[in-house]
Parts: sequence; C-alpha cells; structure tokens
Amino acid sequence: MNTISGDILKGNTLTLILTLLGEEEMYGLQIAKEINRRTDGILRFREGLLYPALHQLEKEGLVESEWHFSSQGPRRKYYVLTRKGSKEAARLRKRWSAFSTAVNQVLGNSGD
Amino acid sequence: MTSIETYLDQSCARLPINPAEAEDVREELRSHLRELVEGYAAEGLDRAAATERALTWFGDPQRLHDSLDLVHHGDPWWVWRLKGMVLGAVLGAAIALLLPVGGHIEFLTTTLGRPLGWEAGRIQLALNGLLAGGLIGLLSGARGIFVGWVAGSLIWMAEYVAYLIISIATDMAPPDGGLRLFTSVILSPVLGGLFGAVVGGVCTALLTGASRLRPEIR
Repeated sequence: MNTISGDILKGNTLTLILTLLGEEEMYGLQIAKEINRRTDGILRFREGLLYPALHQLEKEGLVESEWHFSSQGPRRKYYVLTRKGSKEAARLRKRWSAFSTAVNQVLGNSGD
Repeated sequence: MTSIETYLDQSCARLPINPAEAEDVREELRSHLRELVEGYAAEGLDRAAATERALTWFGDPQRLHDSLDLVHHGDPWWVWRLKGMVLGAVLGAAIALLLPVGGHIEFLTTTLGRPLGWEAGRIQLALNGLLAGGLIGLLSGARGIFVGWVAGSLIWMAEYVAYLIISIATDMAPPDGGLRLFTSVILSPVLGGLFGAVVGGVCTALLTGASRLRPEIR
C-alpha cells in the first residue's frame, strides 16, 4: 500500500487535527491512530511531529489542553477545540475543499 | 539501543520554555511513547524491539527538537535564566535594604578605615540578598529554592570565615562570644539564605508565569 507523507501531509496536518478535535477531545496518540484508521494507513507521519503542531495550535488559542488521570491507564494530555479553533477548522476545511476541487478538475481533464 | 529517556533528552533539551513547561512537554511525549511500546509489545515484540520501533516511528529526535523549538520560540533558555538572575538579584537587594538587620561588613569597612555606620548592616544583607537572589535565578528549576537556600547559606558562612581570618590577621578580636558565633555561623546563614532564595525564587517565578514554583505538573 502506498502511503502519503512529507510535505503534502505536513501542509494539511493542522486541518486534520482541528477537524478531529472538532468531533471530540483527543490525546496525541489517539489523533495519530484515528488519522491512520480513517485513511486505512495511507496518511502516515512521524507521530512525534504531532506535538509541535498541537503546541502551535494551543499557542494560537485554537485548542486547549488538560491532563486526564486514570487509575488504570497512563495519564494523558487531552486537547479540545476552542471556539476560535472551530472557526479556523471550518475555514481550513473550506480552503481544502476548494483546493481539492480545483486539483480534481485539472486531473479530471488530463485524460488519464 | 536508544532508551525513551535518552530520546526525550535529545528532543526536549534546552527548549526555550521554563523547566516546568519543559517537563510537561517531556511527560506528554513520554506518555505517548510508552503507550506505543506497550502496543508493540502486545503484538509480540520483545521490550527492546518494541522500544526501538516506537522511537523510529516517533521520528528523528533532532527534528522533533527543532520543531518544538520553533513553536516555543522566544528567548533562549540562558536569556530567561539571566533575566531571572538579574531580577532576583536586584529585587533581593532592594528588599534587603529595607530590613534593619545587622551584619559584619561593618567590621570589614572599619578595618579598612572607612566605617559605613548604621547602613552597614543593611548593605550586608543586601549583598546576601543579591547573591542568593541571583543564584536562585541562575539555578532555578524544580529544586531551585532549595539550591538557592543552600547556596545563600554557604555564601554567608564563607563571608563569616573571611571575617574571622581578617580579624585574626589584624589582631582585632571579633566583638562576639559564643552566642554571636552561633548566630553568625548557623542562624544568619540559614535565615539569610532562605530569605534570598525565597525572594529570588518568587521573582523568577513571577518572571516566567509562576510555573517554576509548581512542584507537580497538574
């Protein structure tokens, strides 16, 4: 199976993260697993690089984080979307939609 | 084989954030990595192979460090430590000047022929506040207050030893008996060091959002 990584993914990591966090609060590993699951493993990236992205989003006030403690499992830092983050997620999805439509239009006319 | 802690040392080294925040980042990465290792181990890999696979999958530690460094960009680590040192020292000295507590600098200045009079004690305490406050700023971290306390106490003790040497060398008997000796060598250093450490610690904590005084990550 071919996987997609590198610059294409890097440029859209924030969109993916914000979209997932718009559905429910998640911790880093959960986000990575969810992206992997939903794309059948096509989108793969070095999981450590999720954290600079999450911290950037938190710094910009798009997400908030909180440690959750569990007596049975490891403690995890959960991220949740803020109102500002919801607006940004919507904006990024709209931008992605316009971009993918435009690319598809070009590819669709390429004759392949 | 690289261990998780070694990986974290490489990826989280000297991030431009205060130590409590750095530990928070480190704990977050550690938690993720441990879960990855557990997952691979559950798939049948032995511990070493599971750790290696988790670390490989997590990515190059230097690249992760650079990315985190970029996100948390700000003053380099040594700049905020320098700021803490200067602020702790200045405020430690300023507050100490307001306290009418005596010291032995008066003896030294009198020996040198330039008695300072009533303000000598305050200057003495100010110097201790400055030194201890500066040290706590410089050494601030999880154990910063304790380190500052010990350092401040040692400084004060060293000063008293110098005072004794000078008094012996100049044939001027120190104007104190056993009680003063106890006060100078034990009580004053401990209280002075504590004073400098608290003042310096609070200053550096205020400078960095009070998180440096937080003993546990919440």
